[in-house]
Amino acid sequence: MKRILKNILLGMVFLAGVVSIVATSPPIYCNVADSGPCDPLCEDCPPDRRLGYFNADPVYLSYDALRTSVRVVPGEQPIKKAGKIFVDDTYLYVNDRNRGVHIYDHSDPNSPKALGFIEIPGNVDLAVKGATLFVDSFIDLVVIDLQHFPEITISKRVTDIFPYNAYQMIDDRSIHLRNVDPKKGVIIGFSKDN
Amino acid sequence: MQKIKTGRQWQSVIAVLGMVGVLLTGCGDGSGGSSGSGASSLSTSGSGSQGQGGSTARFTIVDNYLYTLSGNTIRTFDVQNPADPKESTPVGVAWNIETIFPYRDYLFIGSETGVFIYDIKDRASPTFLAESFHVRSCDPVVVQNDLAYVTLRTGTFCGGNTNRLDILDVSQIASPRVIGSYPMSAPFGLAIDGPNLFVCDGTAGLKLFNVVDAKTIKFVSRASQLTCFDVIARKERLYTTGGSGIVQLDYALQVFSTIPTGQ
Repeated sequence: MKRILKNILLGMVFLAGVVSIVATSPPIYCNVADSGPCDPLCEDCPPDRRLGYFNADPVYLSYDALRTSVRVVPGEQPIKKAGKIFVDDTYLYVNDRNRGVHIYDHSDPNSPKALGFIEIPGNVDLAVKGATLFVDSFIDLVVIDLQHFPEITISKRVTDIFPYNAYQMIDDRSIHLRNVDPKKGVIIGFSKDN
Repeated sequence: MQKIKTGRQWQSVIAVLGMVGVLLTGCGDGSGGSSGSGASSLSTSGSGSQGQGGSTARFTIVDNYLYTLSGNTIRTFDVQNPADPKESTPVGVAWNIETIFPYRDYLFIGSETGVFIYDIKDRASPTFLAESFHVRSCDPVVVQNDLAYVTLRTGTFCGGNTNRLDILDVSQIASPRVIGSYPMSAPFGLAIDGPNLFVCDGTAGLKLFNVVDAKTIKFVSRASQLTCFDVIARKERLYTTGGSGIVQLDYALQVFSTIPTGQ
């Protein structure tokens, strides 16, 4: 009887440990079994099988809103989460993960000059050719003419060519999104049960 | 954090820059498929040399073509007229392709299971040429002078239990082979320019190696306080991104400036 209690106690300590490190540690690949609950720290553990996961409802950004939301905020804006970068002779382009692209003049390496920030929801990747910026915005490819920056023109939007990823903006690995409906838009957050 | 260079140092930097420019133009072999042209324009509207992305990029531009990786697919767009990108037939590669790096007439695709090489002599249609499998891990790849440098990293999102840098001989492009392997801490993005190889090596910092010969790299120094996940080496300047912010350095790892970031 004592041993059983001890095992239960150890199990609880283990579970508490797993749950407490969920939010802080990066996921790893663990070759999880085909069924049954799995460690949420494992990259290959599906959301609905995670031990200690939380159900949450998706918060959507409609496709109409997504496709009318690219705009410039001139001047220096704080970088929240530095993503990929691109550099040409004069300019340094910095992706702010899932938020958009900051542009700097790096002519003087000692004091890069912030020119502005382009808000692009769901942006992760970027490339520049001359004065044309190519970016992803969730499932779309967006071509932006920077010639008259900070005035910009959307030269083209190629819609629905990248995979829909419900978890693109969900960093919390303990969240399981319920009733994901891609028809409603892209997912930009979640609301947790009380 | 800032270091101002003296005039004399600048002269030598400019001289080196000029020589590098000549060398790169001479062998037509720039990293990022880009650094060749010596033209410099202070306006984005100018026809200055093509810029470059980092080793973790999933978008890259070669001539008038934009290549994107997503899911398991390479998408190719003719962007000669940027207002009207024309997409060719998408090409399926493998699951979890992560990075794309252009080298001469080839695209090097880093995936979780290995490096894939695609022929883009016909820019509009990437054609599978070769693959080099390795243990499961993340693997950005950069290429210079028929040598590919690949970092294999365990942990975050990638799996595997390997942390090392591999050197691949790709002179026989259809049959790449590993000719060197070096242990690392947690390497991710990397960049190469001439004899200088830069590796973002997790909490061990940004490392500089000297490429001695095809098989041999020698550790030179590191910026131990600098945490980055990717680095671009371009015209004697380094640009890093990651936890330490957006940092500009010279090739001796002396910091010019830092743009702070939230995380």
